[in-house]
Amino acid sequence: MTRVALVFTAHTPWRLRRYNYFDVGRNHDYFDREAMRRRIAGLDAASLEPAAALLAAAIGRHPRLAFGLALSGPMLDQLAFWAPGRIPVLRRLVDTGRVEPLAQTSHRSLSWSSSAEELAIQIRAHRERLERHLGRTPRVFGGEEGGDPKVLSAALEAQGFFGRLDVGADEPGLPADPAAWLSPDGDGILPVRVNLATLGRSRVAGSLDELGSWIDTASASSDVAFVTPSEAVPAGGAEPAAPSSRPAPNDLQRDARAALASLRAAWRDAGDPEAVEDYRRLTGSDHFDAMALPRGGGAPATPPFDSPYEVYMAFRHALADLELRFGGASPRRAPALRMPA
Amino acid sequence: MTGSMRVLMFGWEFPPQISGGLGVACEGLVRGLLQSGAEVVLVLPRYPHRKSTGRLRILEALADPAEAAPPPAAALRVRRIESALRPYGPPANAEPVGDTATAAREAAPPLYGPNLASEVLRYAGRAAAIARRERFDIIHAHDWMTFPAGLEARRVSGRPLVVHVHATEYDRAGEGGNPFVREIEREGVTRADRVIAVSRYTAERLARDYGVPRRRLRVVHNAIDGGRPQRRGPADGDSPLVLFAGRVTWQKGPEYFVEAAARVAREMPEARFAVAGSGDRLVFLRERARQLGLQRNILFTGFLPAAELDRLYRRADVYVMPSFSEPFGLTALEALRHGTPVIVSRGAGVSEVVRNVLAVDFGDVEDLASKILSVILFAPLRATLSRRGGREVERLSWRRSADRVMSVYAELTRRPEAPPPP
Repeated sequence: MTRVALVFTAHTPWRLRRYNYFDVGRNHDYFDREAMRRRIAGLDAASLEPAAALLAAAIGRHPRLAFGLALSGPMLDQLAFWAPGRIPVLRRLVDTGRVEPLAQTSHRSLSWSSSAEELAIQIRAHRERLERHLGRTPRVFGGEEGGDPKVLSAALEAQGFFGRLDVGADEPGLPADPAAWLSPDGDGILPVRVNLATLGRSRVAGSLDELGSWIDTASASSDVAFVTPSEAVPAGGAEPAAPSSRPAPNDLQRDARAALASLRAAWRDAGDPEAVEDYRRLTGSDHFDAMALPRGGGAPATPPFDSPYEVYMAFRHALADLELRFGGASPRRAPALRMPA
Repeated sequence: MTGSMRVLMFGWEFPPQISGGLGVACEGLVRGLLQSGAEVVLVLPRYPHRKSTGRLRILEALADPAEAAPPPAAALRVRRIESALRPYGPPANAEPVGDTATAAREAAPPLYGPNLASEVLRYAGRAAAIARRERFDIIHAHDWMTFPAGLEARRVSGRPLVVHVHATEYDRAGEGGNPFVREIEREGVTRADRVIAVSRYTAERLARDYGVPRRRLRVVHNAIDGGRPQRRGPADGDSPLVLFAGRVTWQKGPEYFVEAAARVAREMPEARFAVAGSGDRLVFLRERARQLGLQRNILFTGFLPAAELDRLYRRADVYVMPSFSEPFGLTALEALRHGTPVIVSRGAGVSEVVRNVLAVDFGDVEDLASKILSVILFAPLRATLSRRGGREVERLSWRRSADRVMSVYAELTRRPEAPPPP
């Protein structure tokens, strides 16, 4: 009997805009809201809406089907802003009792995090968000961002989580040939991760039709049992998290992370909730990833940026503006900011 | 008769008198071709009153320290044609060097209208005479002034013609270019057997503006030779230094450099700016800098000899190339070779071969000033651009570019390429 831990994930980043030196102190628009609105509308129409309908129908058809749902904080927030009609549909899936939402950090920030306090705040915030939107308290943590496993385990234990399910980005998606993949060759748990945000939009994710027929095949097989995340993690506390497989940070990432951490450490009385929210949006691992410098000299572009250098500059200027909002020294006094070579 | 390719090449401004540009590209390419085993007869204009710098003699002897066994000096022969034609003209912007500068300017006034036309045609006639006497397999002409000469040489010899486009009149002057130059350019690129463009950017323009069939277009990027000089970089206590180097002409966008300098200086009064080079916008720019209150921040050095320019590259925090249209932008490679971070106009040809540079839209002064400030302020950014950019440039060589040119020759002559020298 193969126990299949099927998890659907969905995430969309807070997209930085080209925020330059002269924007500092002039405006706080670090993110390209129009581009995000368009992206959400696009992926909702192309992926989320048809996928939610397909899954609702499949649950009705197959009484043994169960799965996890790992919706990131930025995804849920942006759906709430720009595609609010999708949230009740997702909630009805959860209401069946066979779809279990997974906990995460509220801003998908793990890879940045050096503060246990901040981590705890973010895990709690996302839990509350899931309760509010989906009406269910998550019991299992399923973040995808890497990070320090010891700090994470402590935070999860303190907040009474049942366990941690590894839904790392390198998990396999749907197999090309479901029959071959589902051969009954053991009692292990087979993790299957499907990215809802790219479903039907990329070859890797596969098509909606492929997903539908895969579920039908698997559900019809007596060798397969679907398990929810709570059933998939070993009972008795959080599973020790695997160390992050991310490459060592480059100088830009290291500097950006240090600047982020020092700003967090500097604010004592964060009286401006909007500034705090903007800070957390900047902690998203997407910004970190977009500063990666590939081997071989090339520099991939993350829209609207030409290069990781552009991401770094926009990020650093946004942090400088945040520092002003938190009452720090004016970054316009540029000479004081100059670092030694 | 050996297997080596014999090239009749029409060049300009050789050896290079100014940084970057056609002269440097031509010299690098000839050196690479000789290393690839080609024999080159190089036809050059002889300017009145100009001293030889000695670099040509060095090249002729091919005492290239990098080559254990240099090809024989006979592989390169130079033929001179007396001419008033000068590169980058009209208007003529490349300043002659040294104490003969004034004399040369007087002897070679800018050519316009019928004077220019008749001079280009006279030059072509002399080129035909040379082509009748020389033996060669292929003709290679650099930029518009030599295109009529190349076409004449093809007519009298029946050998195939390759024209090499380093810049078009649109790049130099936008919509306001010289119609006569445009016509010569169109004639050259549409009638040549192959057209080599220095970038995909330029190839696109040739296809679009001049209707050059894509099957005849080839891209061969410029390159740079030589190891990496010691990077000095800005030391503690140094004022930040921002460098512009090149012709001070409309094409190169020096106005935007000065405007951005004013924005930067307002934020960082200790910042210094150097404009190295001369050209027809210089008087205007000095006045504009004065209006902006930049007298204490900006230095117009005029034309600088290579060694002095190298010192500036090494010392600068950032090198800026804000061109309107930049077919390639060889000075960016020179800056990177010195480990100096570079900001170029978006789409510049050079960004097809080096990715670790910052890009700005032409005329976006605020973005340019922001990027200058960022490079100065954020040490990890400066260090990463310097390290990775320098590494990218190390992978380039004129020999590799010359090999690509040789394969273009081979398409037309259907002879196997010569083996490399032993």
